Amino acid sequence: MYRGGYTGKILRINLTDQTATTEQLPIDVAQDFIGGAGFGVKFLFDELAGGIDPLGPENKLIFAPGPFSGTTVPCASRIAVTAKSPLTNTVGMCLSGGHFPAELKFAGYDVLIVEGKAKKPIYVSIKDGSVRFRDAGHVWGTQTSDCQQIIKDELDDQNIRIACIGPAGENLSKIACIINERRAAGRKGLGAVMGSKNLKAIAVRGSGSVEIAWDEKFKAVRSEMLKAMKDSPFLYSGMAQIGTPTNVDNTCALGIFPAKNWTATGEFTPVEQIGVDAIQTRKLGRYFCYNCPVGCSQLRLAKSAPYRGILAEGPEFETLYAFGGQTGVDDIDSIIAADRLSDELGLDTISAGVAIGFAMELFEKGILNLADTGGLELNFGNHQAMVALLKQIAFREGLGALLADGVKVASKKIGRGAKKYAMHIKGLELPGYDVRGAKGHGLAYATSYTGGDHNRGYAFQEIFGIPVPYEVDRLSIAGKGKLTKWNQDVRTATCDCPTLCVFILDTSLPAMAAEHTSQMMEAVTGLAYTAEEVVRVGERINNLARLFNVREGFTRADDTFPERLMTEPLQAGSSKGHMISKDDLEEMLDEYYLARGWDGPTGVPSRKKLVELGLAYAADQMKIS
Amino acid sequence: MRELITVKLKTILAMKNILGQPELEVALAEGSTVRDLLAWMVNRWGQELSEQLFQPGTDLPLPHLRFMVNGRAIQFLNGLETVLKEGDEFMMLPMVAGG
Repeated sequence: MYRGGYTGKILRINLTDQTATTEQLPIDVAQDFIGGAGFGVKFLFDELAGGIDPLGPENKLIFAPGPFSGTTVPCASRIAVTAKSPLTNTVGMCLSGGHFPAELKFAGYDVLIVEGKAKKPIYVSIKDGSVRFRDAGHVWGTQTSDCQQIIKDELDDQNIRIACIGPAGENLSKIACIINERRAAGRKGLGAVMGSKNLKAIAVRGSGSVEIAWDEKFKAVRSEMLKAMKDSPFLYSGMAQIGTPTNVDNTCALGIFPAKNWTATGEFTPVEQIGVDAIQTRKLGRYFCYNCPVGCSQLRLAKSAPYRGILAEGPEFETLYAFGGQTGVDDIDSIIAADRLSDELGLDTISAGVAIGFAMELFEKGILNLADTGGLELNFGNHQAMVALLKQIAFREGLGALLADGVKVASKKIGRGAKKYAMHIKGLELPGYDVRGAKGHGLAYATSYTGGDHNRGYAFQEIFGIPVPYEVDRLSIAGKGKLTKWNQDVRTATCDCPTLCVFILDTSLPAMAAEHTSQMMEAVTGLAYTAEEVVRVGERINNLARLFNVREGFTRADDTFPERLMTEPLQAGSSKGHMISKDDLEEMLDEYYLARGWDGPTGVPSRKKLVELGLAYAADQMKIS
Repeated sequence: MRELITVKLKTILAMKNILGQPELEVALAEGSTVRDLLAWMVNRWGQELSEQLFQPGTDLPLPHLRFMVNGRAIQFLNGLETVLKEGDEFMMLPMVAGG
């Protein structure tokens, strides 16, 4: 019996036979996995067979907001989207904000599972208990903002919330994302999974509300949370006014803002051109996700030709890295334009920018020539070429056809030594921290269940200096195995599952994240947890996700870095001289596996650990004795 | 009379605005520590900088501030007593978030 937070219902949609069924969400699943990414990983492991084609009808696309979504817990309208990633073949999970997550709860669902494949392009309309399958022939090919507006008009509801794909997803680019409003479930090619199902969009409208189990307790815990947010030295003064771009200035100072495909980190530090002072000159307003008092997302307007008049929600820090540092571009307006274009085409800005920077290095090294690029002078810093190539990626034209599958696949197809310059882990293009100067953050990249992902175990100790659970030397490898386990489990359990925006954890709740989550979970849902049990949920999810990847053939050997990070020390800046040698990585991995209770040589979770976490069934299925 | 050493001072965001530039070189007496440098800076830039550095009414640095020498946090050197050398780079980073 659910008292609050959960609707208790799973909506399962089969696109092949166009059926929709409602199932009960087992309460033990809620207790053990909380929601969001927990539900995504749980259902993906349980319902998929190993080795399926991620772009085939057997893959499933799981949308799961958390129990806090749709309540008045601030900053909780988040949704985890999970599928087997076509980019990495690992678990593909990423989170998005906006209003769509809360709306799915208002419609009555904790989980939406999309299965099968439609014969022709369709979109799905969900209005409370009513599910309709509608022809999408007229919106197929549209950009994401046009798609959303056409569907709103068609359904005669301007407040309906829509998650959709752009041309990139339709063309099965493995770096395509899913967009709602201008928020992205950005990474791991989930837009291609949606495209492979001939599913252009999901439109959701709900008239319900989300109950609270214990009102008085909820008021008290929420009040404490709001006070912590108010007391934060950065949340309202910095995050609300500037947003994530402060991290450009921060990472440039630390010498870890990756530049020119990670060849010029610490040398190319374009703070004046694309850092806070520059980007604030383009600020036009702010955007707020549902029930967020912060509004960190900034609307910015390009001012100079040929991009004048282009409005973007962003660019966020990662996009400033991908279309700025990584490509050697220091023209702020071109980055705003590339950001908006990515949203419209439905492309992950990180993977797209990394792919373009990769091609630029190949061009400068002579591995690609003008014939390969279709005449594009692909030198670092050429923003016109960057924007042109972005369009080619979405439509699989010219060199874009190669890059549309990500740098791992592209480097294999190109050959001629290109592999050395492909900056990815398990196929996922690397985010905006040169981990040669943030070594625990690097270990999180190497061991994340989604590949090279900054959000699965973000080392805020190293990047922001937050001394929780203890102070950390970013330039040392000592203790980073245990630290990474802590970061992965705590972040999973306190942000990715309930769900809560990570920026609240980082700025306001770092020292009390698990305790806060235990209190809020009890207040909202009535389900009781100690702080330790909350963290244990994160551990359970990271173990089950690891098992999914083991089932797909991943081993310790895949928990590694691109060669450059292990052999080329940084040449300039505040992390000069640092890298993570192969020996350093192996030492960190040994400590990490030991902390996790995983087998050292293989990286497979032990039966003992799985039984301890209530995952004996998964150990049996995987024949782990 | 002690020899002078040159130390590069680096910072970002609000503190950059107070210092007027993101980087500058300062001359200090040989043997100066981070604590000495902070005192010199407060003397140079006054109350406005002091408020960015210290908890009100104390000489305790604000808990979210990061001080680094040559890229390494001073907690992993000798804290405020870390002795600065010729050519060292001293960095002050305020709290930021978001990635």
